[in-house]
Amino acid sequence: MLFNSAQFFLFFAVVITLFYVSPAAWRRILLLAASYFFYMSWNWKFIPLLLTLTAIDYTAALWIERVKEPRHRKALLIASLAANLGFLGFFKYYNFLAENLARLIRHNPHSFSLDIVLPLGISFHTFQSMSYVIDVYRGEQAAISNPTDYALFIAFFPQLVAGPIVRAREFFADLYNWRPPSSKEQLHGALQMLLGLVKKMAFADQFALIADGYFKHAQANPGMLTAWSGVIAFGAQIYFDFSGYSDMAIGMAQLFGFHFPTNFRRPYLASSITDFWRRWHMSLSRWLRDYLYIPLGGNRHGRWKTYRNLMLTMLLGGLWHGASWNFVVWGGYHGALLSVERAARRGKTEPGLWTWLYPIQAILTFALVMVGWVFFRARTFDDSSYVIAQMFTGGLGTVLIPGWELGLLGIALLLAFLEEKLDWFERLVVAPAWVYASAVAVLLLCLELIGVTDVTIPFVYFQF
Amino acid sequence: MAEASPKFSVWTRLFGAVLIFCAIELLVFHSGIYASILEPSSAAGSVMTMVRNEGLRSVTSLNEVAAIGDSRMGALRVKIADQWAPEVGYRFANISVPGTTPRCWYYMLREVDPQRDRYAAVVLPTNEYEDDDWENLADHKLDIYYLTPLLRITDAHDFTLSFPNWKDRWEAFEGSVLKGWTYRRDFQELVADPAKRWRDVSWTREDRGRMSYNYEFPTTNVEGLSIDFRSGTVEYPPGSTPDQQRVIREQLLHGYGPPSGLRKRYREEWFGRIFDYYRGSRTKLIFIRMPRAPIVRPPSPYPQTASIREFGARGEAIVTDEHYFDELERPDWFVDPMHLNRVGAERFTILLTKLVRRVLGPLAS
Repeated sequence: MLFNSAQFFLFFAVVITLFYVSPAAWRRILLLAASYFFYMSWNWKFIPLLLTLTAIDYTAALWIERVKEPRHRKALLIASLAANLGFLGFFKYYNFLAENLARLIRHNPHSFSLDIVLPLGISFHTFQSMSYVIDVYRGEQAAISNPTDYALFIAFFPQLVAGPIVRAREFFADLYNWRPPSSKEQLHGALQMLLGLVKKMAFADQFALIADGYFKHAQANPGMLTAWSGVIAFGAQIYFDFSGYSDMAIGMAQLFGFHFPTNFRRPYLASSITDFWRRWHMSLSRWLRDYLYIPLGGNRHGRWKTYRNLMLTMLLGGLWHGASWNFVVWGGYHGALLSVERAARRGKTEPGLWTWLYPIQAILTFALVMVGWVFFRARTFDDSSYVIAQMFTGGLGTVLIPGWELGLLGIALLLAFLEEKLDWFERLVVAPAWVYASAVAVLLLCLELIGVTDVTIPFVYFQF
Repeated sequence: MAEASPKFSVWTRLFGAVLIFCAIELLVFHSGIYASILEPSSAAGSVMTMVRNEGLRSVTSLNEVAAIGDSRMGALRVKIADQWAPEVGYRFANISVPGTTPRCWYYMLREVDPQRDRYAAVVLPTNEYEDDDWENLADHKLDIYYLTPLLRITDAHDFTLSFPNWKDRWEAFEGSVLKGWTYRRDFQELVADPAKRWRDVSWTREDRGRMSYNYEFPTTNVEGLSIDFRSGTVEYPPGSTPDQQRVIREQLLHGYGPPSGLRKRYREEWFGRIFDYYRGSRTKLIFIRMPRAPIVRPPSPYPQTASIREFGARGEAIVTDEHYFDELERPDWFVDPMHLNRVGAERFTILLTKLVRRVLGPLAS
């Protein structure tokens, strides 16, 4: 049940109607049942896994809170993390490790492989679950005694499969102080949900057709312009796809009275790689910072350890996306860029966004991010190397993005600048009714006229 | 301080948005504005080109005969028919569009003849008078694309339900109500290269059908084609490509199945609508059996209904002798397994004009 399918909208309409007509006491149970139904609509066989992880972390957190002995508390934390990482490791990384081991001992790469199907959203809900147990261990979050509430935190359907990764204290603050969304929040949620759908169907899927075509036979499409346009098409696809999904999730949650953190803030306007990571998949960046980078020491132990911590965080962040060397290289590449930037800046503050240097910095950052996407998208390391080589040393080639889609990119860029400068989305929410209605009508027209409906293109991040 | 509540609720605003959306949809896509700039070579564009050209053609007398149909009816050469007009007494218009079906013909006739007084007769072609079921035309999805410019909101119910499965019904609903949705590929092509579209549309408008009027059919043929229907072996025309051979097999070697009644129901539905449309008007409806193929398949071993003959028996239409065009069914007069070549088309035109003259008689007025 993809977010951009008719079945999902029917499901959502039924759930939100039942939610608001139900007595308050039933609402959490209703949301939990709907979330499990949503999860089972993908693959019912993984529901025991979700329930098991939920039960382990629910119990571990309660114990951690009750046990006073630090050693025991730590043991419980380790047991909970081991369970989460164990399941994640098995489902996501077993075959990757097995294939590499087989290669190392000169066996057939598939000698030890298993036929494993990756459970939907496992990377997201295990991270969310782990952050809760760690917060309880740190004393930053009270253990949740109601199992339904905790299960809802893990399984809440708007963010179950691809985030945003929500912190427990944010979620439970909304849950325990629940109030119906105000009129402004309803307007905000509905508009954000529709905007997300347009980003996905009208923008991401248009560019997906180009990017998929290019990367499917990358080595049969030589040329510098070909490579750059293929990679930029993927850059556009992944941004519109994931930020579109996030907008839908955030908008939906808001309509249920929950406030999810912002996940994207115009990342391609970033003036540096550091700035990029403050704008891209912000809930993951925040998780990596709070639960990996800072515990590793952050920037508190000198320059070289800071670089090491940045590299480790980004390498693991890359590996979190998928079990392949390409993701490791992608993570390492960003870790290296962050380290180089940090070394170059030497404690100086970052320049503001609107300085005369900004266009050069933004274009350079964009180009560096695009180079990184090659590793993210290419099927093999050979393909990545080929595409990178073509980007810098290939012949001229041809631009794969048709003129009107370049126009779409231009419009998106203009809207991003205006949002950065004028915050038009928030203004639209409080604008006169006719302006709001006209904006929604324009979004509906975008869906009608440029939405891709002939083929179903899954959300990129659903695979993680 | 409490946040001021917006003046209109989210539901009111969303309803307003839907109204604005519908207004734009009606203004742009239902008014004919967008239909006038459709890509002329697309399915919808080809129907609109025919409608526009037929609308521009002056009709000064009561002796107009329209021949509707698919690409096979393209064999009616109006230029040649015009040469015979003084002798025959009737002037022919070819309003056929390749790929269309009887469902399309009903809506096309409704569009080109809104007063039901334009034609003395409309010629309706069929491949067989029997209700041969090898292809279910009811699920011919392309009809949606052909007909989108002609459909009205009031057609939504009937047109939608004329498709057998729900997926196609949904698309048919979009074609009659949310036309922009069906036009989206055309719209994207327009935005991609507006100058090209402008050139194509301008050229088609200036041409006003003159190119098809003067078009010279190919002279190639399928001589050398022979089929043993018993063993299913085919001797292909020399020099034919694998693609041409595949088309020959698909068109001429498909088997017969026991009658399902699908074709009969389809014909009763869509020819029935054409009969109803012209009932009480001066327009006569004439069925002809087209020259079927360069080599004709043996008849079906199953007993078959023949709704066309029933229409004739009920007085709904004039059903002409089904063997009238048999003499054209020769490999040297076909360019492929379905279409007549230049010689075949010229001969077909002359025969058709004479046939129409014979069944309609001299013009009453």
